[in-house]
Amino acid sequence: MEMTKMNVGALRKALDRREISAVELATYYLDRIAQLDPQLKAFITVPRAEVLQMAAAADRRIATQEDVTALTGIPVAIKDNICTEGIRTTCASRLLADFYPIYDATVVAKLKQAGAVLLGKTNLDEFAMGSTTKESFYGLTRNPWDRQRVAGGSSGGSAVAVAAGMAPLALGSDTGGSIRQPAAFCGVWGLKPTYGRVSRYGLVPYAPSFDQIGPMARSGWDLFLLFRGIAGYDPLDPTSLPASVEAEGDLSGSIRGLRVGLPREFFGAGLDGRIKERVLAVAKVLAEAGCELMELSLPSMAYALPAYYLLAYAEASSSMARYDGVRYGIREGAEQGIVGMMTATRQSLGLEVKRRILLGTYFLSADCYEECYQQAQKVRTWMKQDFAAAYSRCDLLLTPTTAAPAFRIEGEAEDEPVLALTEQYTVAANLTGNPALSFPCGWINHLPVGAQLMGPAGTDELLLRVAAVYTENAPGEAVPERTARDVGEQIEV
Amino acid sequence: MWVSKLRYETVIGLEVHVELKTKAKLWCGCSTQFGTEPNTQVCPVCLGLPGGLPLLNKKAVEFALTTGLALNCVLADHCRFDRKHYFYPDLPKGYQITQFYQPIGREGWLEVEFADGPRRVRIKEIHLEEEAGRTYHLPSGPDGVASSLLDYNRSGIPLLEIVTAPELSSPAEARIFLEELKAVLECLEVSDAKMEEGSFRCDANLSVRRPGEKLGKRVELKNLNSFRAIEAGLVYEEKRQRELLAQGEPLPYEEVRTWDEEKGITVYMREKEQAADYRYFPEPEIPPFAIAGEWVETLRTNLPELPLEKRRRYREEYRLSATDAALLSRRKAEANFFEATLQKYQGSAQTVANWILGELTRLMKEEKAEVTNLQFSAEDFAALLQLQDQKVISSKIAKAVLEEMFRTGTKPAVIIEERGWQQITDPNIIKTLVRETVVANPAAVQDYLGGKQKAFAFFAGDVMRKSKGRVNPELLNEILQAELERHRSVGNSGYQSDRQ
Amino acid sequence: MVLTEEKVRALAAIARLGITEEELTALTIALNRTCQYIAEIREAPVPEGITEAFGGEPTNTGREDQVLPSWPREAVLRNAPEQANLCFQTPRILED
Repeated sequence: MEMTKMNVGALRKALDRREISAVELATYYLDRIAQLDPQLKAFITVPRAEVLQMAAAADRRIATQEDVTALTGIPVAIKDNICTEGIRTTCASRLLADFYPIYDATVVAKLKQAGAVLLGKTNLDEFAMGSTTKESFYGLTRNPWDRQRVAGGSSGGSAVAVAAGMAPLALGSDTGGSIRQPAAFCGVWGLKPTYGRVSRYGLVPYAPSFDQIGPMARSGWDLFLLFRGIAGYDPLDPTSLPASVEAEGDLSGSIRGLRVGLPREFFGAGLDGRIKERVLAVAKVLAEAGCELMELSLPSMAYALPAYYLLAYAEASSSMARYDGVRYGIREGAEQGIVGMMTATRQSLGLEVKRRILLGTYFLSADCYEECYQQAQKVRTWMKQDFAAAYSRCDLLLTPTTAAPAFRIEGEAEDEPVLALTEQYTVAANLTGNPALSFPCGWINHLPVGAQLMGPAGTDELLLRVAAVYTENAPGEAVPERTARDVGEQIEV
Repeated sequence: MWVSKLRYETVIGLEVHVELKTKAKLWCGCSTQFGTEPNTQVCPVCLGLPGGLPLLNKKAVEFALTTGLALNCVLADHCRFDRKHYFYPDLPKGYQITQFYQPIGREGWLEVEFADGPRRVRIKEIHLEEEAGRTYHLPSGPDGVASSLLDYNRSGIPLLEIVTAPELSSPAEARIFLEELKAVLECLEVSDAKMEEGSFRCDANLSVRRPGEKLGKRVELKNLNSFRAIEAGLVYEEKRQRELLAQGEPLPYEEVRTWDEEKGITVYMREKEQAADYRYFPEPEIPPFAIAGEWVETLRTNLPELPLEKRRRYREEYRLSATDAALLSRRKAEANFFEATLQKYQGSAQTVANWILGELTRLMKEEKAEVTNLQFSAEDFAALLQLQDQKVISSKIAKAVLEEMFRTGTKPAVIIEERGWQQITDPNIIKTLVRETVVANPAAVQDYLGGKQKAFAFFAGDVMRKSKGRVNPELLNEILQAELERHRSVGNSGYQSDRQ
Repeated sequence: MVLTEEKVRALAAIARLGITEEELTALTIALNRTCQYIAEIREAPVPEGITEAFGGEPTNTGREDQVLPSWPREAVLRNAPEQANLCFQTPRILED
């Protein structure tokens, strides 16, 4: 059986018909990880024994047909900034090299309850701060389509795990584009849900008013299944949305008559012309499917990135204050007294994390607070209003996910303007709290291109539905049907 | 000392931290119980583990609002929180969640009766925040390395910080203010307010100046762990600063000092960081909590009578002494019992006060009982006092009856009936008893007639002993005196000449 | 907004962040670049009437005052770098 070619629905059927067991499925993926991951480095931790235990438990559930859900027996990779009880959670940091959480994140608890098999913990930029997955203490993750290029980040490990068929599903987290940008770079689907639809309880915070856990998968339907498995009100998360926002049961509704906006600010200078072409091709397919296209403008976008940096880094500096070597994590410099110990312990953080902590510390200092931080808060409010006004004219927005395809590890990935360019289209959804989806829409040579759909709060399913319609109607070569298997072949084993 | 008090003014402002007595902590469900084993009341949230999220305990907001109402504050329409950053091992997240930009209450006041009369002390603000953990220090071990230990049971307990305007003018006033504040908090039942358990803590800022001049540099005083320490520490500091000023050496900068209880002095700790940059910003994880007007109105309606009003009423309406009014009004349960008794009692309020503060308090102390779990009702208590007033029993018997009520809950009339403790008020019976003892003790009669008052007491005691204390004392005195005087007139003709 | 190495060093001290001399040089350049980039936000034409957003819309989520089980102490202390007497242990904290 070509398991990496099967979608989650097909795997479900195979499991329920006992054509394969969950243990076999897990073993298959574990073996594939063992085979491919030494080169791709998508995983930080693969707890083989626990994986097989969970799979065996899933098999028992399937055997009795009791409480079997869409995800029972399905392996899911988890980004390593999501807490898993008893399974090391490093955040790709040296600081947490030996950190074993004492509780499960709500999403993990939900997946376990559904009978999913946690396959392992995936690589990321340290504490999710980065857009390359280069900033990991455990080595950089490589793009399976071109190993000289980055996977994107910070959920690069999850994107690669899914793209290379090392997991059918994965969880990522998205603060400024950390699910969507690697999804685009790796040719998979990634959803940044409406803020509050997926519980953040147990997600190691980077910038908590932006952070959101989301699903990554190789198809819209797979993505939807995982999203349904993790979404929902959580009394442990103060920002969790009430249950009134219920997940829709399927993606079959019509998209005829939907108004799709093409915001000018997302198609301007800096955008690779070939990407623009691919995204406009998506628009064309949607128009053929009955959508109404319209151009519009979002003037607040000019300040999206500065506002994001100011607010997210400020929050990051605060989130990172807890790592002081007192209660968990590594401890260094204990002989230097308490202040010395804290300073020495935090010295082991990577340069990118330090950069953001220092900037955040500066932004919150009296020197900057009123002029910059508060102004950024105002810009954020302005953006919410600006986007709300746009959504009164159209139902959703179609944009590129990134301005360029995955860039080379050497050279480009160190160039800050290039990095900034990769974030400019994604931060808006985090600043406004609205949902955004990246889905594959073609190629530039051998590199995948992603398109982004954004909508008002609560339209997560709608975005999926629209993207699914596009995929069904897209010309064959646009969608990465070249699957994980082919990727595997590209890698010299 | 030539430094005259008159030449200097003292200005004191207080920052009081009060632990609110919610059952669970401010952000999580861990218990707030005091005195349990270290690190047994902790969870991912109050330990600041990555991924833990704060979920506001609504009761803490309610307690803060109630306190705000009692302190006449302008209440905020939203409960919002901010982060205050500093590194300290007892602060598990590296920041404290507090209310910096919008305290829950502002611009309030508390009326306090100082030595020179009542005055309103302005409250600058009250705000909710979270408690930190506790640090213990281990002396150097065999390896010679000293270390510290951290217990996070206290971490995340709701705290209310109450900040006064700098308008207390002496250490004594500071103490009186704090005692009043403590009484208010106890009366509102929002805090245990126990200094010895740290649920009521105070930092004080003190500066001195010559009248009309601007305020001198202030000193923040820490480690004031009892009312006595607060007053003593401030007295010391006031004197120290006056002397420095008198010597022409005003404080060069603001500093933090700690009160050394043993040595009775304040000790320099550090310069007060003027520019301590706590990098406050709005807490991004806790959405604002709208405070509904109706909620506040309900709390306002349910506000109990505050200690000062109650004391005043006890003095004015019930004519109690200032001391008794203060003692009785201090604890809600006792005050309620006092008033419930008065409802059923015809006699004076002072009698009730005397009995509650005297006998009843003594019994409760001995038996470690509370007024809330007495075996008898206020009505029974009133009945007992009534029986005493009607001279059915003497005050001495009344005490015995109260003890019996205290132990068994039996009604006073039943006790008296069963024990045959009714007072003897029949003059004939008393006369008989008196005659018996007088006849039996002629020598004592002679002593009495010879002017020895002790002999009178001997006869009275003898009658009381024989009647088991039941004879009405006033009638006894009257009849005994008459009887003895009768002997005097008899004896005038019989014995007097012999003596001469 | 120009951040000198001295200023960056001071920020690192506030953030209890150990940085090497090499890092200091690199970070100073990087910090200044970002600060330059974000400076334009001061000129952002924010429409009239927008006041500082203050942590979002009120949702009035909260919990009842109910005690829930705490975590077992062994679990809590498992990740402690050092422990003693049922507590987390650190180098001596000077009382200040």
